[in-house]
Amino acid sequence: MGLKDQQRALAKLFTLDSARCDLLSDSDHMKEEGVVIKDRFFGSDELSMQIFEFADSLIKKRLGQVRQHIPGTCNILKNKLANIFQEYAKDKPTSGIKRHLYDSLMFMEYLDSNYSDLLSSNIKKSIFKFERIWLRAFLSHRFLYVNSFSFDVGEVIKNHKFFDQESPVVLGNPRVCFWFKISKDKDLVYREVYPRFWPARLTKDL
Amino acid sequence: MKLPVLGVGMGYRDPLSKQILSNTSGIDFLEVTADHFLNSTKKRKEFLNKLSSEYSLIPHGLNLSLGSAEGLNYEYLQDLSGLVSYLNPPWWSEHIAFTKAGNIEIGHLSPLPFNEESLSAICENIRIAKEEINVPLILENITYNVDLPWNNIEESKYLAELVYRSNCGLLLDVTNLYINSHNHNYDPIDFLNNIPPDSITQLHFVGGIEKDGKWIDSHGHNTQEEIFNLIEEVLKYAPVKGVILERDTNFPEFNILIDELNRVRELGRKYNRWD
Repeated sequence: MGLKDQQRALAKLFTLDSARCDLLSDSDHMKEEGVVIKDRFFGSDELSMQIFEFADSLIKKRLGQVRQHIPGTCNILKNKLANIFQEYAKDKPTSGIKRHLYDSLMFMEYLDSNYSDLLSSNIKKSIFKFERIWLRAFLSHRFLYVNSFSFDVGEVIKNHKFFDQESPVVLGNPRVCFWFKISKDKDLVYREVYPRFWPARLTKDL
Repeated sequence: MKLPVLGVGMGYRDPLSKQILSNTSGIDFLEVTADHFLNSTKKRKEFLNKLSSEYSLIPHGLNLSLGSAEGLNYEYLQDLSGLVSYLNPPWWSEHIAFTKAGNIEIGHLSPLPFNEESLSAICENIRIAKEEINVPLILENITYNVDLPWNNIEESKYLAELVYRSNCGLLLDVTNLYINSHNHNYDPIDFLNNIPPDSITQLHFVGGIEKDGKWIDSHGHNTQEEIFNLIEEVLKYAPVKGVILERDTNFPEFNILIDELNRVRELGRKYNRWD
């Protein structure tokens, strides 16, 4: 087995849970796919363990990066975060210089599709929406994103202790938020506008 | 080619931006992670200009995948070439590793087998990189937790042969050397003695952590005494031109980082590596 095949096999084993399961359960299948590795590779429990540990560390590394980009959403998930992220990431390697940003956005899409019940309160929905717009605005070529929020979402994300308030907590004024950029090589600009009048029903029952 | 002595510095990190720009007397030079400045916005380029007006900047690549049997990441090479040309550094650096294979990007530096086949592959990729980037290249050793079954050369001898054949310098990550020697049970001084001293151009260091008997390159802890001791051995052994503290996360008070730089600076002075 030459270097090219070795590296292809390792890349699969490091990033795809399905490949690691194949390694454990069916070494003949691996051979059929052209992933022929020395017999002692299959026989080596220590090596399999090393591969699993390295793969696990890669997922943790990705999660660390995602936490930096969507801290509010990650705090909402609390002790469920690691398991849900593992479930999402296990067969989805990332790529490109902006991989961590795309990873964060795809993870949010995964949450929206599979775990929307964890984002049930209006505070949590607003935090999720705010962070998702930030990512979309940063990554897309779209010129402008606009959205309204009935409280200071940025402040709530910084002070995440407010997530579990049972009685409604209103932080800051309602606002209309703008994300815009003139062209793709310009920085994203963010501004907030505070309307004088705001429908009370939009503030109720946060 | 005689390379300049740069002294002791740190890896630039955005959370430390203000302190780095206001502590220029305590930091001799900076290493910039290439990925953070490739295809930058105008504002980011302006910031890079500001950094380069205060410090010598050494670009440090992450994703060139020099060890890839399938060849380099050519798009990344083009981008990197632009950045190196823009910064005009005395050298640039990348890793003795691969990061992609078969359309999969691993997202981390992955080890090469220490054998002739990988030596030939990485040397060929280095030759191509040097055609594109006409600035001296130095190569960094990585940590590895997977003992590949295809190794048949000792790591230190592999590195020695690599720097000889490729005519590149070595970016010796002292923390990685310490971690690998602990986790793979070898003497780091024996390792060092197999590396030609003149090839060791720059060092990296930072604290790691020990967990369940294994060391991990967390890049997020204060530097341990054992690592400072090993740095001293390397500075005694080799005419190193620069040392970089590579702290990525869990930042302490800035003066603690400056204290670590000062400690290494004093060690270098002890062995006449710099003034």
